[in-house]
Amino acid sequence: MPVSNLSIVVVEDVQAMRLHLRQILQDLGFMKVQTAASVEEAQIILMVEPVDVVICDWYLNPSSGLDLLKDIRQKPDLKGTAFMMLTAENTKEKVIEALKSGVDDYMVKPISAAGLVDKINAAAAKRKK
Amino acid sequence: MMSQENAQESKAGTVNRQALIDDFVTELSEFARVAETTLAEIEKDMEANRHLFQIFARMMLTIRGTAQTLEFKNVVDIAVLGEEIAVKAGGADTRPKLRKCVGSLWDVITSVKYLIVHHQEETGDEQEILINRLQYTLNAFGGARPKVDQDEIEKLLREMT
Repeated sequence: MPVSNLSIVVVEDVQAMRLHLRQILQDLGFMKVQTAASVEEAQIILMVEPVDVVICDWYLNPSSGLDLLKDIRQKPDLKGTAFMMLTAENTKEKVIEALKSGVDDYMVKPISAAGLVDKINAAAAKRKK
Repeated sequence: MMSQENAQESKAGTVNRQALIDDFVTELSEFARVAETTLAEIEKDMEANRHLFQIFARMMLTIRGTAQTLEFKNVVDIAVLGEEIAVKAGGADTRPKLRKCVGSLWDVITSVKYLIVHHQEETGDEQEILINRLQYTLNAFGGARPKVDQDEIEKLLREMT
């Protein structure tokens, strides 16, 4: 598996899910994977260093993934950061809301390793244009 | 917690799968406990506390998402119905409808709690009966909200970006 230099932050409030996602990403060759349990933790990481891709759950207590997305989109220095929603939320209304808010991709749980590398690379490339 | 996790990252290597499942089950049980507590609170005053159905629905969604990852199909089947019934309950316009929803949600939470712990059991007749009963209740309230699968999402993404 080729090693990727993309830096990724996984934002997920279920600890076991965070570890699981990080393991999947590392197994796929993404070596720069950090995790955050909340929007606030993710914001601290994003302040400290450049991040290529954020993979974020929708419902995070007390904030939401959409709050983080809006924050990222408002900051000019984060315009190169791709945002991928990863959630169990699959009602059409909510999916459209996320797409309108500017997610680069939307993935419904459970995550599948197949095709994930391409999706991450595509989302990152889209933001680097 | 984040910094500990990220610091451990380089040392962790392969996460032990059984330990990971145990962690998942522990967290799922905690979500179920929150849902149960929320339902008990709703029952104290169904009208005044109807906004809490949203929290119950969110707990069910979290349980469903995690259970899908673990392929705990029995938990997923019940949690998705619990989530939808809780959403309907929030908009129920009469007290009997509210009571009906709350009764169904107690069945949901009792079953989900059991199934999280006994996730290796095959689907039994009792679960099938419960699923049918919950589906019947949900249908009586207008059915589940429209959902989209990953293929439809990809299509929406292409259309909107």
